[in-house]
Amino acid sequence: MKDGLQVSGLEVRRGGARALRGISLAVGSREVVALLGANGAGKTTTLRAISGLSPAWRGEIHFAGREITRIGPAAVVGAGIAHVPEGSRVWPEMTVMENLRLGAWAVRRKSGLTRRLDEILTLLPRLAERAGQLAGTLSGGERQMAAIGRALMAAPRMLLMDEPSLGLSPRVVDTVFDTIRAIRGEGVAVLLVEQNVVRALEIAERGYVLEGGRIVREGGGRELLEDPEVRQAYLGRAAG
Amino acid sequence: MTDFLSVLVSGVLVGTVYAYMAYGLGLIYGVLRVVNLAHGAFLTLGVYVTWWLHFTFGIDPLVSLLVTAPLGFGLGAAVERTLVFRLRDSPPVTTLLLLFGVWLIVRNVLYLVFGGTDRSLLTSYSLESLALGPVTLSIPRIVVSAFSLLGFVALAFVLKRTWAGLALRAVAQDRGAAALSGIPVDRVWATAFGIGSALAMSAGTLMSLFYSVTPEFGARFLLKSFCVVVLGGLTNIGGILVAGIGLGVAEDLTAFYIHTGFRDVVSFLVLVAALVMRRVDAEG
Repeated sequence: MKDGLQVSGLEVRRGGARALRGISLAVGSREVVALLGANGAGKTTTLRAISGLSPAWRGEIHFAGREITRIGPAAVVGAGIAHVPEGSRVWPEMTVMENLRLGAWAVRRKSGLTRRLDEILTLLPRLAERAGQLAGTLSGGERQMAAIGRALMAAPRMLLMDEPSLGLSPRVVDTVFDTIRAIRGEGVAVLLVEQNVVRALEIAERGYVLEGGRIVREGGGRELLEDPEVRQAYLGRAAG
Repeated sequence: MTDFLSVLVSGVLVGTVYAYMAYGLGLIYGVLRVVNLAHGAFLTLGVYVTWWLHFTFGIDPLVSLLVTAPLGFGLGAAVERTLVFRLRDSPPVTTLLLLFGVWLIVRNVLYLVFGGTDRSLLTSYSLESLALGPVTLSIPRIVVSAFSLLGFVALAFVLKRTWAGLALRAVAQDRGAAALSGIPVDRVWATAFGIGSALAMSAGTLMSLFYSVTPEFGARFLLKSFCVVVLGGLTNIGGILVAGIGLGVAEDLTAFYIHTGFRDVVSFLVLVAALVMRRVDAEG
């Protein structure tokens, strides 16, 4: 898995406390991997550490054979990892188009931006309809799509997605997961943090379960979905 | 009626300069969430550099824009990199005091070097005026207003069309999301402080055409800048333009119909009224 993401022994401290207590995980290229766990287990911290927003105290992060542990958020995007933050976080007083264009900041000097924009608007047709609208006026689902489109503009080889279905209606959640499938189809790996465990494990090749800043379980998507303990903890019912 | 028209148009002309002078303050607040009390220092420096270039080399104030704008950018970016940046995680009052300190230092250095006497800058066109039908307008006011509008157009272009401008707006609207998109937030901060200071210094240059040159220049116009920014909405170009023009017109009408001595009272009153109304808005 030389070209994917490898995290080894990652520790992150927050105000003295250890938010991550040495986690190791891997995401292969073209793989969708789910990161599960209760609130406060360290899922978002893991994504932020990979992105370079929360500094790693110990441990190493490698991507595509290159160490990216301390290169900073801008360089991480440049290295090919884009982050779709929780709650979409689009720039509300910019148009959808401006949001998308700015997503390409890290690769702005490379060619092919216009073609990339076209591809994304084909992948996310809703954004084409809303192109001139201020992002703050979009619906929750459209905002999530705009955030995904923005991240894709950086031409990433891997997306970190933090709770992309949070607060969306079931039909919109379907669209979001269809989009994730389509993204994988384009050859982009996804590390997915989701509170919707069933949906996440249905789509993911593999998954990790975080608890108290440690990985307590890992396995194939199906395998975890049928695991009695996982079902007990996250679905509130035993395997049927 | 003729008087009224003259005063009105003249107020509009001054108002565009007010807007231009204030915009840097709003931009810096919008991007860094820092109230730049050193804005007064940059305004005053702009006036003095312009006066000095004219006095020593006979350089026309409009030409010295080529000096003061880049100089303002450099000084502003340097102040951000060396001072403000260190305090980025401290409470707002710390940066407020720090920048107030910068202003005090600049003001007192100016007293030291140039003394406290009011000076003025006279060019060949300083006293010229133009009669447009019934309305008589001073040439410097027209020129300065035109340059201010030009500055606004350039600024709007930068903010709307360039990568740097988009990044500036992104950091102002959601800093965290900007960092996630790979935008170097600390470089954007320095750039915003630089642009804000360049605007202030070049505004000083423009205003030296019809205000006297004194180390207290910044005190008077910092207050008016606040007034315009609070009234117009921090980073809203259109709002600030309207607020600046509104203040310019209100001041000129007051000075003409009530008393010149009341000119500067207008901005105080407007500032208080605007703050009270904002407060009511926030509570309502």
